[in-house]
Amino acid sequence: MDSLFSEIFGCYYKVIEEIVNNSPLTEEEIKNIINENGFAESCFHLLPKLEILPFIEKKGDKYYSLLENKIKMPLTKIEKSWLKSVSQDVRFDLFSEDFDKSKLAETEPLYEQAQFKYYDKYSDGDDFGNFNYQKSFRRINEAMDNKKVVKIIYQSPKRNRVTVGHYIPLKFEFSPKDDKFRFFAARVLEGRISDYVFLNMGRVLEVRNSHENYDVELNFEVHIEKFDCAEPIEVEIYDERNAIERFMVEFSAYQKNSEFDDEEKICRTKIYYRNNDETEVLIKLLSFGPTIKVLGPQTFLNWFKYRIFKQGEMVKKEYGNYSKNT
Amino acid sequence: MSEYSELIKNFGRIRDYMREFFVFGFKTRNDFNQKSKRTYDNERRRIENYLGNLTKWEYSENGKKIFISVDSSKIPSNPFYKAYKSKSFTDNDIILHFLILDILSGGGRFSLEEITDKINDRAEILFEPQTVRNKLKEYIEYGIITAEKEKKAHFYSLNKCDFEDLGISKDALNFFSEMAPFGVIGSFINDRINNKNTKFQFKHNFIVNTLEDNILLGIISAIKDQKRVEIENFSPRYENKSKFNILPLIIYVSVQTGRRYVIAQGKGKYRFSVYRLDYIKNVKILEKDENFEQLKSTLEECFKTSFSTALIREGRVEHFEMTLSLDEETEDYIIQRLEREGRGGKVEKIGDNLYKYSTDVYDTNELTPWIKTFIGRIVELKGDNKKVIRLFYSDIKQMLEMYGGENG
Repeated sequence: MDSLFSEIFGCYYKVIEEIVNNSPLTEEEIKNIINENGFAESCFHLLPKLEILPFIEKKGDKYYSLLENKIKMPLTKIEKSWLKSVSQDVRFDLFSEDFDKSKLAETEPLYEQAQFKYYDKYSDGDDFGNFNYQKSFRRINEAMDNKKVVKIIYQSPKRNRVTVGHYIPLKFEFSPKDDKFRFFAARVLEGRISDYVFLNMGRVLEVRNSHENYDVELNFEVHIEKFDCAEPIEVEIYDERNAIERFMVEFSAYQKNSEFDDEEKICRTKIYYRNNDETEVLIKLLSFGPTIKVLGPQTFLNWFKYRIFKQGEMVKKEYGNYSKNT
Repeated sequence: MSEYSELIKNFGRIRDYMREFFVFGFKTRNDFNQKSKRTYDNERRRIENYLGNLTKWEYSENGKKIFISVDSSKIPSNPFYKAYKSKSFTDNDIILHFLILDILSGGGRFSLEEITDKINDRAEILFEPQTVRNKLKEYIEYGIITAEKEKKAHFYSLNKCDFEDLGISKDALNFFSEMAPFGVIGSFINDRINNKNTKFQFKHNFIVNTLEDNILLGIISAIKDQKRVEIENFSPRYENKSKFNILPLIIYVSVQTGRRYVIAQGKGKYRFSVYRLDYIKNVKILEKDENFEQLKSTLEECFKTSFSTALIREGRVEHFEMTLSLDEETEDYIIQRLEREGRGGKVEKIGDNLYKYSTDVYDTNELTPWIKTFIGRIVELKGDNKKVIRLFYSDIKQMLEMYGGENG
C-alpha cells in the first residue's frame, strides 16, 4: 500500500539536496538553507549529520559536494497519479492550457472525482467549464502576474446592476463551501487607488485592457488586514448534544482561543473573523441553538438577540402550543 | 531514556496531538492522561518545531495550554503538511538515496553489481549487494527507478519525468495543493521545484483534515479495487476502540462542518454505516467484494432522501415544511439561500413576502442546525416528525430565557 509518510518527501532530504546542489557552502549558508527548509531544531540535528555523509566533504571553512551530478528526484508514481487526478478536475482548465494529456496517458489516477461526494456544498457554485468564465479568469490571472490594471465589467449583486471599474487584481480566494472564486483587487481611479474590494469571479462579465496605470508596489497584506474584526466574538459552549466537539471542528477554520472550565463543564471561546463574514458567523452560531451562548461584543450580541427575540414574537402562538408537550 | 529526535517513525501519535492542539486548543499537559508526560513533552516540542510561531501557549486555570492558532484563510500553504515531512531514516537510507540518484542521474543504466561497486567506491562503509537491491526495489515501487531485464541481469535507470515536462502551470499546482484531496502530494512537488503559493487564499478550509490523508489513501485504494477493509476505529466521545470489517463505497465530505466520512456497507440490513475519517486509526485492505456495484447504486438512491448522513435503504420518508417571512424587495438573498442550501428541497412563494421550503427525508432531525440559521424569519414549521418541531420551539424558548427575552 502506498504511503504519504516517507523520508523521500521529508524536509531533511530536501535540505541535503539543496546543500549538494549549491555546494560549496559555508556553515552559515548551510544554516540558512536548513532554517528555510527544515524545522526549528533541524540545525542542531542536521549539522553533525553532514560529517558522516560520504558525499559531503569539509575543506577549510566550506562544505563541498562530492557528487558528480545535480540531484533532482523525478516525479514519483504517487505524484504522477495525483497530477492525473487533478488534471481531471473541472477547475484544472482554468490554469493549464498547455498541459499535454499524452504525458500522463499511461498513469492511473490516484482517485476519481466520483469517489467523493461533497454533500453540503452550495448548489450555485461557479460555472468553471464556461468559456467566458475561463476567459475572464485567465485575464484576471494574467493581470495579477503582470501587476496590470484591467477594466472589469461586473454584475453587481445589488439588483444585478452592471458596473464598470478599473482594478489591479491582487489575490484569488476560493471557498469549497461556496464553490466559488473571488478575488481581492485594488480599484484605480485617475491613477490613484480609490478602494480595496472583493469581487466574485462568477459576476465578472468581461475583462478588457485599461487606459489606467498604477506602478507603485502594493502591500496586499496590510490592506486585507483592514477586513479583520475589531473585537473577537466571545461564546460559551455547553457540554450537551456533543456541542463542544461539533463547535470546535466547525469553527476550526477560524482563528480562535479557547478555555475549558472543568468544574462547570463549559468551553469559552474567542472567535476572530473578517468583518464581511459577520452574517455568516451569526447564522453559524444560531445553528447551535441553546447549546451555546454568545457573550459579546455588545453590537454583535444585540444583533444575535434581535434575531431570537424576533423569532419569539413570530412563533408565540405555536411556541405556546408546543411548550405544553415538551 | 531515549534521546529526543525531531523526526518520527510513526505518524499516528503526532496526528492525534496536532488535532487536539488545533481543534480544541484548551487541553493542558494533565489532560493528556493516555500517554506518559515524557511523550506529551516530546510531541509538544516536535509540533512547536514543525509549526513555529503558529504554536502558542498560555496559562489557564488548569495549567499551561498549548494551542495552534491560525486563520486558515490567511496562510499560503497548509502548515500540517509539515508533519508528513518528518519521517525518520537511517544513515544508510540517506547515503544510498543520494549515491544511487547521483549514479543514475548521468543517464546510464547499470546492473546491481555495477551500482554496488560504484557506491562502495565512494561510501566509507561497505554495502552488501542485497542492501542495495532492497533500496533499488523500494525506489522501483516509488516509480523513481525502472528495471529492465536483459538475459539474466536487471539493469537500472532513472525514471526521467519532471514536473516541468508536463506543461502543468505552477498556479494549478498551488491551487490543487490546497484544494484537492491529498493536497500534501502537491506540496511535495512544490518543495522539489522550490515553488510557493503567493496567489491564492482559501476560505472555509479545514486544514486539519490532511492529517487523515494516509488513512484516506488506503480507503480510496480499496474503493477503487472494490475491496473490503478492516478499520480500527476510535471514538473519543465513548472512548472505545473497535475493529470493523467493512466495504467502503464513497468518501462523504461536509464542506460546512469540516467532517469527512467513509460510507460503507453497514452492519444492519437497512442502513449504510458512516465512519468519521478522523476516528479511524488504521486500515487493512482485505479481499474483493462482488456486491460493490449493487450497493453503490442503492447508496445513490439513498442520497435523494438524505440531508446529511442518515442513509437508510428502506423505510418511510418524513415530510417537512418551513415557511419563512422575508422582504422580497430587499431580502431576495434569503430565497437564494433556500435554493442553494436546501439540498434538493422545493422552494415556492405562497403569499406576499412568504416562502415555503419543503422536502422529504428519512430523518428530519438532520435539518435542525440548518433550520436554526433562519431564526428570526420562521413563521411555521410543519412535518411528520413532531418531536423535531417540538424541540425547535423548546430551543427557542430556552434561548429567549438565556438572553433575557422570554416575554419578547
